[in-house]
Amino acid sequence: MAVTMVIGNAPTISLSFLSQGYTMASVIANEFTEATTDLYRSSLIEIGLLLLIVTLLVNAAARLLVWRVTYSTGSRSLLS
Amino acid sequence: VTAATSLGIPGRNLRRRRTTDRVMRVLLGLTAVVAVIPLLLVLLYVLLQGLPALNLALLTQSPVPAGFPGGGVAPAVVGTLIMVGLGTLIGTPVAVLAGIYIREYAGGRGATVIRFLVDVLAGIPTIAVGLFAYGLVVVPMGSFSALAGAIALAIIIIPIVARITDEMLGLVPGSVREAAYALGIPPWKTIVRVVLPGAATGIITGVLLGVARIAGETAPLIFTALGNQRVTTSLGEPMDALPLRIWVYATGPYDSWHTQAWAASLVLVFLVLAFSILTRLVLRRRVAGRA
Repeated sequence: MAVTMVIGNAPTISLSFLSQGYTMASVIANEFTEATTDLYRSSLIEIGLLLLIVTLLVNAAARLLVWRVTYSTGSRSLLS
Repeated sequence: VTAATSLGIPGRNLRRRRTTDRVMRVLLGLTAVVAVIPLLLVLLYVLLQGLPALNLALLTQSPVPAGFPGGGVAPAVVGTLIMVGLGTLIGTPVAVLAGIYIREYAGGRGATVIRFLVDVLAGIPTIAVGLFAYGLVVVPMGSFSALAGAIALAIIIIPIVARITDEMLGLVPGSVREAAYALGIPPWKTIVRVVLPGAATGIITGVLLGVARIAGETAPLIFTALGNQRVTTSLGEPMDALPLRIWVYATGPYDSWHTQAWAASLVLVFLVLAFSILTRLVLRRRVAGRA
């Protein structure tokens, strides 16, 4: 929500860091209460699902990284 | 690099090493300062912007149409207290029991799997939790409600408290458990009477962290609690919340809304702060009374 307030909420893809943008969470937050048709609502929930999958992948990657570093080097004392 | 040079022989390059040590110490200190600066700036800015607009009417009156003088955020204050309270009441028992299961019963592989899943739950964007609560409560009930908001908040607080409970139980020494077993106390009673009291302070700190976290959430409430212009205590009706009201006012076009948003932010910050301090005071007194 903090991001939603400052990012500008423009539904365009831009390569500039200084232009306005949009985040998946912002789209849902801004448009869900206006979604009048079933298709519109379903699309927004689909964005939610994508967001969920992204989170899952990032979490899994992080866990994998931790396991790699912890067990493969065999020098746990350096990390703890 | 050979072992001798990496370990460093006393006396050799001593001055250079001392200088390096000092420089690094200062740099590390600076990073700590940099990490605290945002906190101070945010607090200062909220105080400066919010204090002038803070008055009794803000806490006791309902919102008035934009352009009219006065009005307040009373429905939001009441709503935040009710929904955060109910969310914590629903979420905490589940979370603490889950934490106990992970640490005491699940065993190596099971614990790893559940921990991973709890971490994933903690990482889910809160807006997705809001969507879930919408589908779970709002659609079947046929209306937006405070209950849906409280359930969304409960889902957010569960992984936070569960993981902290897990960690805190892990800090209780195994020897304490063994001592209890040696006296013939069954495992469940050991956990309830010996391990849990030992970890209680840490678990309560975790709950406080969770409460502070959910008290500031807007995203899960937008399409569950929806917001309300009037004070209500009914769980079946839409209910206002401070973060929700702040979001609406801050993104709105009126100057009077912006000032009230600042004041409401100040109220929210102090509400959370006051709650944390109060709980700690009560806790300290209880611990002191026992000793």
